[in-house]
Amino acid sequence: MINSTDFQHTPIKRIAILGGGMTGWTVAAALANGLRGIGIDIVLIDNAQQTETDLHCEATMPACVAFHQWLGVTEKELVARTGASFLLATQFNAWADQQQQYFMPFGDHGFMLNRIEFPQYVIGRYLQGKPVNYDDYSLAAVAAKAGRFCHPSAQDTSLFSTLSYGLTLNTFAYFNYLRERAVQSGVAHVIAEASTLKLNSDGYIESITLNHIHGALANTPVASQWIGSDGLVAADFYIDCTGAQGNVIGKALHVEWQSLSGQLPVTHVINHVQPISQAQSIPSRRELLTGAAGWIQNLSSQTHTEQQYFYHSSFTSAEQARIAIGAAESAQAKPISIGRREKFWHKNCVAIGESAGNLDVQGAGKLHLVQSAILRFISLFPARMAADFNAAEYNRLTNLEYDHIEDFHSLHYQLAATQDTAYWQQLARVTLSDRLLHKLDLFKKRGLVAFYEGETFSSGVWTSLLLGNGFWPQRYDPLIHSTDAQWVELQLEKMEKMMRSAAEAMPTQSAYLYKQKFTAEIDIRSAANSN
Amino acid sequence: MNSLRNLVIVGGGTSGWMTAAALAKFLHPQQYQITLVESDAIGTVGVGEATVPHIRYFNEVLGIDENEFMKKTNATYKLGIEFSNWGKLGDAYIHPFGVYGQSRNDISFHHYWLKLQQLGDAGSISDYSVGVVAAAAEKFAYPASDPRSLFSKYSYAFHIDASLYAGFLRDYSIARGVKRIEGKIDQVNQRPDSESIQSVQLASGEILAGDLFIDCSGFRGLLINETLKTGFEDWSHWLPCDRAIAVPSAKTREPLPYTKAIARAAGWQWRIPLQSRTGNGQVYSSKYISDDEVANSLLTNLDGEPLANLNYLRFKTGRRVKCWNKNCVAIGLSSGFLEPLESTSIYLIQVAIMKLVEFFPYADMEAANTDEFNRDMANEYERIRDFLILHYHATARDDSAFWNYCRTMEIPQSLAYKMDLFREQGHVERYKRGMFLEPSWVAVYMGQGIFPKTYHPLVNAQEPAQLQQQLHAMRDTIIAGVRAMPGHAESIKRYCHGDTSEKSWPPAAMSLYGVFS
Repeated sequence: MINSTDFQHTPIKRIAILGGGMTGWTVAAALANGLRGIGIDIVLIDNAQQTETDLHCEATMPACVAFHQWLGVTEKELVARTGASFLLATQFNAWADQQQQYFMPFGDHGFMLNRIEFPQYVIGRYLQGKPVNYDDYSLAAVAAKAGRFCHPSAQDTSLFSTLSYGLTLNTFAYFNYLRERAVQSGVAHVIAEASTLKLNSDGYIESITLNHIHGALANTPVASQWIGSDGLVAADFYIDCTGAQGNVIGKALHVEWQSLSGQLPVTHVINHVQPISQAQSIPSRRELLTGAAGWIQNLSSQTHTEQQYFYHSSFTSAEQARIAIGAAESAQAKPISIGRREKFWHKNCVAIGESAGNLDVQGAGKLHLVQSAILRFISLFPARMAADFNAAEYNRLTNLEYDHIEDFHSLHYQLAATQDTAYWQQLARVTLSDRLLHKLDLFKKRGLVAFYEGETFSSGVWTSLLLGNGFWPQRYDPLIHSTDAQWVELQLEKMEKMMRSAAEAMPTQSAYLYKQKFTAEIDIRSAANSN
Repeated sequence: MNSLRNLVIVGGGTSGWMTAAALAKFLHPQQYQITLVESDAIGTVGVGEATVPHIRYFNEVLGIDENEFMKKTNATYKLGIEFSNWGKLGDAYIHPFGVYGQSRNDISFHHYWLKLQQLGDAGSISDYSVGVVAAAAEKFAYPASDPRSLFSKYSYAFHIDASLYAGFLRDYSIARGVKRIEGKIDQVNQRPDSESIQSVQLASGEILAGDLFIDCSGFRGLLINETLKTGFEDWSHWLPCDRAIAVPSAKTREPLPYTKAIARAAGWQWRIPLQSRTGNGQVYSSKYISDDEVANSLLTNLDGEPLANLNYLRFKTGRRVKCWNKNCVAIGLSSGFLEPLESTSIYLIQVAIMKLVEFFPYADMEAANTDEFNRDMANEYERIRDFLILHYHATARDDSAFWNYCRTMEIPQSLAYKMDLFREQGHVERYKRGMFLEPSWVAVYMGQGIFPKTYHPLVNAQEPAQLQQQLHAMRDTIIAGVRAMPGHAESIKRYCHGDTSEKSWPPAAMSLYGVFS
């Protein structure tokens, strides 16, 4: 047996990723890129049972654009190869009341006037009893409403430079694309079942035993490099992408799962995928609407639309949920375990994806958290596998990120808790964190968004969630009266007009994709269907 | 809508007049009445004062001409602070307003420098800082406007005569409608129901009623402390200096473009070069040294004739539990005290003013609003506190009881964590709010002998020979660029005493490290 202290102080040379899917292959492609040039070998081990399952479509936030750039992915190629579409905003329907509809764009509304943030003037207007449609001051919202899209302008004097966007991805095509890249950059792929983990006396993982190794691997260089006698794989670091089961972080290393099902109450998701016909227009928004026992997300890539119903099984049956979104009888509900790991980096293992946490997806989706985790891991990547303080910092930052996202998501439920079904009535009684209570209090009293370190969402996004749900403050910044009221009126009118005419000048997403040659290569339609 | 109308600022000085000037700028004169009451009989602490680059932003927002400001405040430029004898006797390093080198592949420069050092290259990390090299060469030029240039990655502040700055802002404020009342406050009247402050009464009998009171009365905290009895969080077990003696001295040479902070047996000495004289002082712990010993040491170490009597100051390090309590906002020394080791006094005044404008209240002083202001200010104080404690704690000095205490004392958990993290692999904790980010922490850590065990492994992606070559080229570029800069005295003459009809200075930012970093 290797002396354990020496083992822990060995430089990291071999990384094993357990689990494929969108999470595993994103990690593989990103580590192959981010850690290149320092002699690190990477293997990804997956089989169907030990991988996180993905829904068909996945929405990302603007951070994904920078992530793809960093990864060296050409967006045009990515979009064309995987049939992704561009996303400008989320449309909320019937949360606060049945008639309600509003947009949450990526990016801010309006412009600062006289050094005072724009929402203050809108709140002022509202409190004076004048009509306000907050969406009208956001180019992204106005454009998304009309199904339009164009890329942000690089010229910072242009109104179009204020746009930011995410993507709606076909997950299957996306991870296939990343798998290709990862394998090209040298990631070894082993299809096998991971079974026993061997720990040393200090609790570090020494090796992992594989069963049912895919026949095609026998006698290949991958096998000889990675798989020892008796199916043993020894790596220096392990990334757990096995989904909520957390085969490594949970089952082997016994890091506890903290369930949040009392706070964020959905237990299952059922989905309904349909191909988009050539004639259909491709929206540049995603849609979130309430259901009787949960909420529904509608997403459209270039090739498919998907309805995902996130529901609580105590308030509806799988059958009722299936019927609610018109899914085929064969549609299977997938259980969701809302919660997070007590730690995310423990010894020589990092959990990424659902093995680390599952925080619902109204705001920050799964892929966003995976990308953010990878960048954090690389910035703290240790020279030796024992790196207690880097691990502590990684865990501290991840906890901060999760705390605020949880708050953001629970606010969605809270603001909607006026619906009259049993499910929504129960939600009205959920306790909110002190952080969120302070945030709500300050917004109610003064229209300001309290700041916390490590937040994913900007004050502009919080503001659009609050105002969109009719959570209007009682007061605004008193100093807006230092500026001439008529001049302010005029500025607001001008902004509204600017947004409207700029949005009208934008092409529809379908026309834009066609003209810019972003359109999906045709085989995506059939390939993606197989998921 | 329950708006407030009358604002009373208690105390002139730097904090009082900075507050008055900013409020006069932002508040509509027909909607708000701003009154400042100060007594000619009460001196202000204002000695020669060193600032951080954020003051340029304050001036920019107020529409102040930088060159005129320099002329009026006897100012010199400041590129950083030189710390001598801190890590150990005989050591010296400059903490610059700027970054070191350039990050590459998302890995900060100091990791590459650590590798270079491991390869046997003995150069200092300071060689890769334009700010340090320019300061040491006594040069000054504005940072470059091209964000890709190495010469855009630094910033500058000033050494000023703070009482002249207060006077300058007094004129500014009065011209914009602030009412100045001369007089000594005899009594503070509270509202019987809510215990908030109703009015202040002057020795003359005049009563000044207000809706919002801003306590700029200095250490004593006439309103926040003596009247409202707002608690104080004592930090003197971490920052044990509790007294200072200050004295100006005659100019003996051209002014340096940096502040000096020289560690002494039981504290430290500052030297702040103004255009026409030098500000000096020693900060010390009365538990470890007597006033007389410090006075002697201070006078012995002056490089010019003293120009005034010694000014003795006493303080306690810590912060007011709430900077804003009821209808009283404490700004300046009344809100807390952190010794001027990193020139943060005016910065703390400035952020308090900016936050007061951001969280400007209604007459009922809504609690959520006050709480957020206090939470923000507490964070500002604590960030600086940890950074200051690092200066005392990161030392090998064992030549006095004072340094033995500082070296071995228990430090705040938040600082211990940051130091452990840095030691492990050179990672600096990041945050969005509060002063002193990675380059500053790196400057003090490495300047005082705290080095990581190893660097980020991604540094190894670059060939050692290539890395060495690139870093040497960077060093040469900096040397050549600094050589071409005008001297500090020449720049002062040109910008401050030349033809000032044109705006010559670059835009300002709320950053220590330059507009583009």
